[in-house]
Amino acid sequence: MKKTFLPVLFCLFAFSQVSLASMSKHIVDYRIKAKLVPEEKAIIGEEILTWLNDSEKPILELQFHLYLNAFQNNRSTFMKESKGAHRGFKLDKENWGYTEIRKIQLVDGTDLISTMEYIQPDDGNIDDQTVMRVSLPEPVPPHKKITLYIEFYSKLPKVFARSGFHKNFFMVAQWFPKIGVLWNGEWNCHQYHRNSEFFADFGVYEVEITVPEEYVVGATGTRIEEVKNNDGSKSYTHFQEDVHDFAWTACPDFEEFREKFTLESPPVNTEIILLIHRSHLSQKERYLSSLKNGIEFYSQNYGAYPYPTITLVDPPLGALGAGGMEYPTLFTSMTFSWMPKGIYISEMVTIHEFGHNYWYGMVGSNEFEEAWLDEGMNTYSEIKAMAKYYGEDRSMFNTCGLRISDFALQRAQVIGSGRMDPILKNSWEYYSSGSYGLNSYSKAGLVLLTLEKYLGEDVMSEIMRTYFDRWKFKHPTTKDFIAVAEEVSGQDLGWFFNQVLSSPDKLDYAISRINSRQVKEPQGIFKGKKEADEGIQGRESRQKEELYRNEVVVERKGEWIFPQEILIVFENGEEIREKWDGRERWKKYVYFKPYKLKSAQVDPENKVILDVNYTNNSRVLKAKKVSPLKYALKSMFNFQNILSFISF
Amino acid sequence: MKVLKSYGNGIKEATLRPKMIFVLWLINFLFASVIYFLVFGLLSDVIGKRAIADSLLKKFDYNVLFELLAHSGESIKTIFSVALFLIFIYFLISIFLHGGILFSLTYPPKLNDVEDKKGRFAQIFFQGAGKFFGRFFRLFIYSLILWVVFIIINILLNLLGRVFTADGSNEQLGFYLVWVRIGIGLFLLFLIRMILDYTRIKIVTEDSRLVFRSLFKTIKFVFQKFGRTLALYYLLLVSAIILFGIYWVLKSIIPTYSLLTILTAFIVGQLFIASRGWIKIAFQAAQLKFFSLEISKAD
Repeated sequence: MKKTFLPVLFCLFAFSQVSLASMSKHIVDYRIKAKLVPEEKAIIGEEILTWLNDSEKPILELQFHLYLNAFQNNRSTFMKESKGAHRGFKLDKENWGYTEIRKIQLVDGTDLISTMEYIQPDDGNIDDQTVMRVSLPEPVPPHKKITLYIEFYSKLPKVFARSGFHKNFFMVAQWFPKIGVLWNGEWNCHQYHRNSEFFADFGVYEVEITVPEEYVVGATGTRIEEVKNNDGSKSYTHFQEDVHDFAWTACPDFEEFREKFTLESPPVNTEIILLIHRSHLSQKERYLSSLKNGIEFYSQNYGAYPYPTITLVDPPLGALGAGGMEYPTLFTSMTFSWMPKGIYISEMVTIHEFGHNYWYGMVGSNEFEEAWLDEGMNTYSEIKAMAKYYGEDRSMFNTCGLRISDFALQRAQVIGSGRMDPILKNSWEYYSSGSYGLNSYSKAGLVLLTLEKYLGEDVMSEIMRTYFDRWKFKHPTTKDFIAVAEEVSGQDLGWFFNQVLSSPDKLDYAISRINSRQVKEPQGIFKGKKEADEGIQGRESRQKEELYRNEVVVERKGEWIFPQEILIVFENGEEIREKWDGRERWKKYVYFKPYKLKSAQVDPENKVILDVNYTNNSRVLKAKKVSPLKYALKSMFNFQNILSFISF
Repeated sequence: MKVLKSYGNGIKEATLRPKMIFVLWLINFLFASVIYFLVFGLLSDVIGKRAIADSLLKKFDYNVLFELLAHSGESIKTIFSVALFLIFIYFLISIFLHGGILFSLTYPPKLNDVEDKKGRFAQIFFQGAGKFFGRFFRLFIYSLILWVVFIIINILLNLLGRVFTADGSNEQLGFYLVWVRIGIGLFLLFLIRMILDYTRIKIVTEDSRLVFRSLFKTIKFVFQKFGRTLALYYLLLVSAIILFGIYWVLKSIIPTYSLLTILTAFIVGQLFIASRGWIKIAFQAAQLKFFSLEISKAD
């Protein structure tokens, strides 16, 4: 214990020095010693935390996340919300997880453990111990720091939700007592929920990880020291600044591959570290290639990847609950040794999780309260990256004649969804985990794609780049993103964002009717000479050529309003493009022409990605029978084969 | 030798019975045409009046499929319900048809007298179908025992697989075990179907009403001649696969972009369905021949 105080002073000194050249404001500084005890599936840890009160008021209490306590019993908020399952993986009731605080004190030795208290700011569930607070003997003055010493014991659960162990594989995430965010003068320290990821302040992490020497270790940041101990263990020290979390993994069955990756423009110079489970070695090149694609895409579109390392962790089968999760400079993907080449799931997961280094890692949005700022932006980025590297129409499946894009799958979820929630909502308050996923990921991704089509790719690209540049290493909100979008585009976009982010409704425009009717000769009584003359003249002119009254009715079927373009095509090939603000429930266009209509189409280039029904976007005057015939005959033939099989 | 002789005989007998093939095809066609009308009605409504119809003619678009599922879910559910109902009825009818096929194939007095059979095809076929329907239906009920055994074996294989791969550490082994299970599953599926084929043959050739006993004796017969019954069955199966291959090649060279080519592809498809009827008769005729040869040898 005493041995640690000298380093504390050193750390404080180093902290102030590092801050001068850093990219973010260092609110936190963690110096942690962690020892993995494989037989106990646990981490024994010591933590020296220095925290800066960046507010204008003195702070008398500190709040901490103890995320692993979500797994300590079946009454935690996470367990109640998830019913012990996450993404299809189930809790093992023989292996609970928890964090036990064994000591918490100030640097002068003042004990704080007696003031420790569990709180439940989100739901008042007294059985939930994922947030605790300690009272300080004296307030931390504004813009001053406080340093604490904490000893903890973190028992890992059998992995089913991000963090835990499976046999000799350990994914050590959300594992240490982590201070909440003092945001706008208040503690923002939410409980661990089923439908939420995380939020934390930027700072410095230096973590010494001790494991049995046969274990291969990967962790956030750069390895600065590797020491072989006398007791048959090894200690690896990792350091990273400008991050807001630290995760690590250890497994003796990992193969480690390191490769330098550089880009000239923008300048990127990083080291790719792939920790791949031995059973998946056949997938090594696919992992590396997709990660390089990811680094290139995000760097070129949003800003250079600035960290010296990026670690890709491949969990083994049986630990897929740890797969597909992001941490700063380290993420987990997933694959199978037999994954067919034309199925790009592991590529998609790799690019997606790497991408979180941008929208979660560097742009530190609050995922508890505005998950779309990370997940939605990342889904948007992922769709574009997948289309670029794997094909517009086949970026998810390109095998055995099956060609489906990532975009098509994301859109399919949105068009088939209900109207339970808006995008903007606290993550844990969504109707269901499906609704959370739909709104935070897919729908939010389509919102940005729609905005891109509306403003143009260049403008959108500039918006994303500016937003990233302005808000990296900070905590932006939705308002900040909208402000950037409006500033860059030079347009008021409130009408768009208010609808798509705050309302659960849908966008659907349709051509509800088209017809062409020959204009008949005037019949009946026309009072007055003038009208009679006009009647005669009109009749004479129409006798020369037939005249048709062509009518197109466009309808707004959804609640969301979006400007529309309508393409009207006549039989002679003439095209008319109409613009409609889309506000009314319907709009009628009438054209008197000597020829009939051929077709009418709203949003002819399918720019309005959020339109949930493209099939009603057009109408033709003469119904086409051949296409329905083709697919009906195919269906019939397939059914004939089924009948033949059952009677065989 | 017996296997090849039976196989050749089966192919010949099936080829000599175009009317039977036509009946099998026609019933299949009539049932499936219900699905055609339902799907055509739905698609005409959803895409027939839309500009997207033209592009769909050239290339299938999964976006349209997803939209169809999202917005025409109720119609699709109805079509699926009708399809399930049709499958159930067709299954019963296929039990009925089986009697007709076997009775025609065994009909005395002159099996090889094609001219004689021509005039009386319908009479003989439907007489046999009616005569054996009850017995074959009972056979179907008894066969459920075999299917239960099939399911139990599959469950056991699944559990066995889990023993080896429970902790997920042996991914490759798990992958190969899945294929082994599929292989064993298909083998058992074909074995049961073969046993039922021979049981029906036994019932018809012996005009037996003792269905369960016939099933029991057939199992004994099949396992006594295991290699040869299996060889004949798989020879016929390979013939079916070759037919499918020919259809696949023909199908892939016909671009379905116009009404004419769509109809051409449809006709090729119908020829394939008819050929499935042909191979079905060949299965029955070949196994019947093999059964007769083995029984006569035993006598």
